Amino acid sequence: MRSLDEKFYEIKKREARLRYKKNIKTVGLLSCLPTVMFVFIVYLAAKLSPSGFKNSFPSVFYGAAISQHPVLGLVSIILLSFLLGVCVTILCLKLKNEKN
Amino acid sequence: MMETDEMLYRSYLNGEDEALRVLIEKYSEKLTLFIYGMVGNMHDAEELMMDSFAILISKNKPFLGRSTFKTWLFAIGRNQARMFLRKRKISAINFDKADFPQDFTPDLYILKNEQNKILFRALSKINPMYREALILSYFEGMGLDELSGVMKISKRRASDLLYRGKASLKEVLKKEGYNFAELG
Repeated sequence: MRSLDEKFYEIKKREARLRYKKNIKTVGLLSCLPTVMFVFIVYLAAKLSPSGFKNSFPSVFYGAAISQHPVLGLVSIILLSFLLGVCVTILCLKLKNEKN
Repeated sequence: MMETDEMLYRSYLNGEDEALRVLIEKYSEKLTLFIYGMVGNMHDAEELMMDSFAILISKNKPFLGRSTFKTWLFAIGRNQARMFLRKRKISAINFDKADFPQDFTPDLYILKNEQNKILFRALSKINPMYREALILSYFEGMGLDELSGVMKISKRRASDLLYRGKASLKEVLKKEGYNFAELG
């Protein structure tokens, strides 16, 4: 049977672990936002452009010089937007924690 | 002025660690006992008790004051125990095989008492829902309001569980040669 102090520190440790897990979940969810927005914008552009998506947005379509392959370019931009989301969310969480 | 549990909880959220210490001291063993009644193993019960406290203070499920602090804490403990049993696919527990550590703190006087040990063993042989209701009612002194809050059932159902549980317990004790009235 643990002593009161041991229980106290163990509970605090578990609380910190729970909070960390919650933060990871939040980061994951919020980071999906820019990715979804990017895919939505690409989709909208493809739908609205009369001359076809490839002619209107070649740089986006080709992944802005990241990759010459059209699909790889698109995937690269999706990954980059997700990473950007991760960075922004982590930054926001850090600022929030500092404020608290 | 005596601080209520709710006040202590708010104090902890405002940064007073000592308030949490008081709450742990007050409820850790009571909650361990209740969970022990559900899982039948003291080590697991203690782990689940600490998980319940961690959930309580992590603000994942904030206390909104719709019930008493004790009801809320025991409801979290009950959920943890049920999840634990579901994960391990345990449907029935056996208190005969349960260990009673020698260095158990005196606050858990219930298990030091031979009568209560007999009562606990008898409780392990009845329906788990009856067992939960009886532990909360007899060992924690909860009324129908608190009981229905912890078990998430209506007051009528709680009263029914107590009535049927008592009848089952009497039967089990009678089979083992004990008198319910003497133990109660």
